[in-house]
Amino acid sequence: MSDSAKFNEAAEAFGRSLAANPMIRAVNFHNTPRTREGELREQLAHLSRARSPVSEADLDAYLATGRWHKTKPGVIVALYEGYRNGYDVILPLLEEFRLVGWFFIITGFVKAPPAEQLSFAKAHDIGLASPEYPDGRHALSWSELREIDRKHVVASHTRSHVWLANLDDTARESEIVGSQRDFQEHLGHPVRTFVSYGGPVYGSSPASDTLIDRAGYQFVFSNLKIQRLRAWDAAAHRR
Amino acid sequence: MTLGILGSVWSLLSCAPLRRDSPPDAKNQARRRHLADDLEQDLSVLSERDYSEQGIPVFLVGENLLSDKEPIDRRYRSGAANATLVKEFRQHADAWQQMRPDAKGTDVSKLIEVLAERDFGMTLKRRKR
Repeated sequence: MSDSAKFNEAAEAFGRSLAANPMIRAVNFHNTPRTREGELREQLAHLSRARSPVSEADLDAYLATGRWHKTKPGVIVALYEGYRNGYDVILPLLEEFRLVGWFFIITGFVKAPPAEQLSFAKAHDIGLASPEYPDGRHALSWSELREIDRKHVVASHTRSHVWLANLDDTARESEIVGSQRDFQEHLGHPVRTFVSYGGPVYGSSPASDTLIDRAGYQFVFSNLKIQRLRAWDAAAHRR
Repeated sequence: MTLGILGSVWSLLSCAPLRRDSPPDAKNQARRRHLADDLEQDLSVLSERDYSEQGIPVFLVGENLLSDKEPIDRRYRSGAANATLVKEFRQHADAWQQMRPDAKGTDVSKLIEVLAERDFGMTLKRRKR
């Protein structure tokens, strides 16, 4: 198939999907260094004026019924990788503007000792062009994540930020199910949301899908979609 | 003179079928060109963003894989949801392909980013201030 045929096919598929499903706005962030604080403040203030925060319960109801229950449309503020400045810089801004942050965490980055975090970042495609912490800890800590978890969303972005398709079964299990085990151990409950490195959809790899099901994730985020896989019993999961 | 008048009538008549067809085509072409020009301009502004340190607005489609078990709003069943955005997306996809005949499947994400930025982002608004 030619490139332009692939574009046509992808555009047609997105158009059809958009015509038949709820749409939600999201803003994707990665590193949020202190040097960008003013810009971040301006952006979150702008979002909060015309958009509502989205929790996992809000998303669940919206995707199940197709009806959005708040006056203003929702916006998901997504923060990828698990940078320490997610706690120091953007978390206070999210709270100031009453937005909900969705923190997609690479658990291997959090678990790496501070002295190894820079090299972990370099080896796992985690951008750290200008490291800003002299003590060497560039990832969130588990205690910071527990605090974030009280009002915001903590989600899995695998353990190592690698292409799942390139892994053997054991390594793939570690990335998908193992990261869920990390959250259960350190947060005391499973997380509801998962996104792979590169953002493939649920349904594109039977091997990954089986593990996503086994880990019990409710939502899978990908480049163009959020898929709701199952209902969630918040009381049973203490969420 | 008679010949001249007849000549004019002939030219009007002979152009008649073209005139019926041409305006919509010309209009479509002009609209596509206009959309493509605007897209090029916005893409150029947005290409300056640093993806690793700046917030990138996007639209995501929410798929409920349990939809056979739960009541989804009627609008979605008829495929008429998000009508304005769907129309805008399709028109821009058409313009994109005219502008870039070698467009790749992954370019759809780029197009969505432009439309999302126009809808609720700040970068383009800031530039136009």
